[in-house]
Amino acid sequence: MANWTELLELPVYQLNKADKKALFSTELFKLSQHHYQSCLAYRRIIDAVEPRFFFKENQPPIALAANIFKHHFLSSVEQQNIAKITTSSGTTSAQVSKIALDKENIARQQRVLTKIIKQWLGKKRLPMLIIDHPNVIKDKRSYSARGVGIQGLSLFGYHHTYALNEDMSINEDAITEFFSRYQNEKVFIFGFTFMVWQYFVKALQNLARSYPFKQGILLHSGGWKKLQQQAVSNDIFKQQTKQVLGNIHIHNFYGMVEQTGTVYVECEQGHLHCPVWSDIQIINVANMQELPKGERGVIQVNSLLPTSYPGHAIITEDIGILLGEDDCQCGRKGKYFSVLGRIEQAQVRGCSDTQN
Amino acid sequence: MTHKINLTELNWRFPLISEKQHIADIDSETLLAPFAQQLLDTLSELGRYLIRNSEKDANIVALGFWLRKSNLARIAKQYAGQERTAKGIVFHIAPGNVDTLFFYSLVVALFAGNISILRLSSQTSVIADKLIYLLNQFVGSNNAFYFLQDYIKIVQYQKNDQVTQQLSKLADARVIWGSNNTISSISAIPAKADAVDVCFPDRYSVAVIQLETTQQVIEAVNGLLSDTKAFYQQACSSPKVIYWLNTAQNLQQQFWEMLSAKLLAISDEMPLNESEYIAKTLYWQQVGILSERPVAAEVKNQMLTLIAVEEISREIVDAHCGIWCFLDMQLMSIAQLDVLEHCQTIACFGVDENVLNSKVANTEITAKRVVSLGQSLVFSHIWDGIDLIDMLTIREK
Repeated sequence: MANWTELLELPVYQLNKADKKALFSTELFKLSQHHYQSCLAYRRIIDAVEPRFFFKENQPPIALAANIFKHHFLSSVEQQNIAKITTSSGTTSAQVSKIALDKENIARQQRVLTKIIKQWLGKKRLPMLIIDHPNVIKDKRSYSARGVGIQGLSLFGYHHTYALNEDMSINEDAITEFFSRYQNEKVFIFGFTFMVWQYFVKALQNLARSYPFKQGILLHSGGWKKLQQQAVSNDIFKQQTKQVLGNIHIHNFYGMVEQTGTVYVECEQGHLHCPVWSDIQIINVANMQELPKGERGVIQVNSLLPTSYPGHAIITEDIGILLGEDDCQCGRKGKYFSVLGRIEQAQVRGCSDTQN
Repeated sequence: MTHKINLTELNWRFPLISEKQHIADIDSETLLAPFAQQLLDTLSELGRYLIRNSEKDANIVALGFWLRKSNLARIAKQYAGQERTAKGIVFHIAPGNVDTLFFYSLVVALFAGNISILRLSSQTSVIADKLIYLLNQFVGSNNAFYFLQDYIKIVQYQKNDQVTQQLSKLADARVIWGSNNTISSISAIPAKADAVDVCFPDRYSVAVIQLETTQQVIEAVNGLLSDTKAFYQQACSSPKVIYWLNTAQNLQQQFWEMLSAKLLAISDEMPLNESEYIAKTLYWQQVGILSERPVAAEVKNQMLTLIAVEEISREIVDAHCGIWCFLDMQLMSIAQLDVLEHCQTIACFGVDENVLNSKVANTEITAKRVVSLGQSLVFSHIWDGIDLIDMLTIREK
């Protein structure tokens, strides 16, 4: 298994293509071996399709369809060692993914997230405004994706202030108090993209209110689907958010509950960057082959983090495009890409439900 | 709590006449005699009209062909000498998406002399829309067909228990297609006191194939293709499991290679989207997890996935996504064949149908019917073992 003391020392955005490839091919293969030995369900999947998978050294992993975590509970640790199960509510399905985490994975996710986020926020904790309501993190045993996100990022802030009330209305008193205290300092603002837009930016515009912070960083995540329906692009989002929050830095990031920790943050050029511990591939799902730079396809995410569940290679339901590797103008190494949206839903043709 | 919904304000798709005539004047006094000459003539005319205007849509052609006079007469003959009257008003709750099944449900009820109200879900397919369009055109084409407007009412609405409740109150019979959940939730809504519910829950189907010669391969491939093509293998009667009866490995291989090539050849006309490709991947991965016995999954190409298994369970069948994923099992003898309780159709090739029929008749296996490979999607008025004509008529003593 990987030496995490060393892995965590790696610079977040400095490994070039050759070095990263060397690292990933051996480490992902070790992870495949580990999960094969530790997770019966994973072993059955590999045996079903590639019984001689381990005959060849450093074979790329067989990626699991993300939805498998909605239908089956896949764990590579003993039941008593599962410390937390995180869940995600898919936007399109009532079923949720269940991800088994042991203490080691929880700690690792947090450490990796810290390394990545510090690249963008700096080393110091900042006063933090959360564009959500406080009850979203109440149930400590079973976090929702939103809860996981807020909980994970709260560590980078202090004086956590929730900008919304439970009914999603805006909590003007709280924001005003936060603003009057920190308007000249560097602040950290976090929220889910749609909520930031709908319940914060739009709400403030309706109230004709603005809080022009002198400096600060907004990190936001969670998908553009609803915003695309309203024809809100990233540019519009940035521009109008700046109108209510001042000239702050705004960074979208991409990530998923199946691989918590390794988030892909948008740089100054508007490109999402792979951190050293994870990587993406763009896949043509008709034949499961990797697509070259510039071609649209399904995003596969590979991460070195998951040891408690076999989630080191996952076919997502997102469409993306690889923009390049090692040569982004921002100077960061590694692959950079953009997310174009969700895959189109499957057509239903069977004798299935009449209930819609 | 219930408030009455003005039914005339719903989206009535047929007939397209002034709204007041739709539901208010449904009148069960005007029932027709089952198999009346007028019905036989009109339905067979409708069949011809559908074929003429099908634009080569195979599903519409099949429907038109089913409505041919000889087939209708053959059905009527099965009830000859029995004194039957129509049940009354039949409320059909159609499957969301098997594009033509609702139409069969309608025409059988009509042929039995009934008045039908058909509910379509909020989303209809292109074929369903086209069928409704053609029905409207057909009725307008000749005065002699106008009477259909009194016997068929098609309404489209999003799931709404109150509407279903009000329509159910009118019903002497309900024909309910759908999942077990749908059926139980609709059955819980009361209909008329002596109404019957005819339910068609989720089913799955299988094929038993025995090949001895290379010549047979192509015939069997074409059979399986026509059983799976129309609804991308997602209809309940499309085979999902292929049982190979004493068939040499090289013939099986030839079979799959040929099917694989034929599917690839139609991949342009029947394109799959990214969700569907991922669904296929998810499915073989799920079968791997769900089976206690060894599984061998082989993705032949973008269209065809083969999953050799040694056991079939309800979970494995329920997870099936259609789109040409075949579960593949080997049989040494027909005696080894066993199917799950909710099996509908056994399609067979190179196998003595009588042997299978008697196994079904003796309830050694629970399937509802045995057909030749290639005939799985052919509708029958006896569906899932339920005689629709019998259910939708009253037999006089």
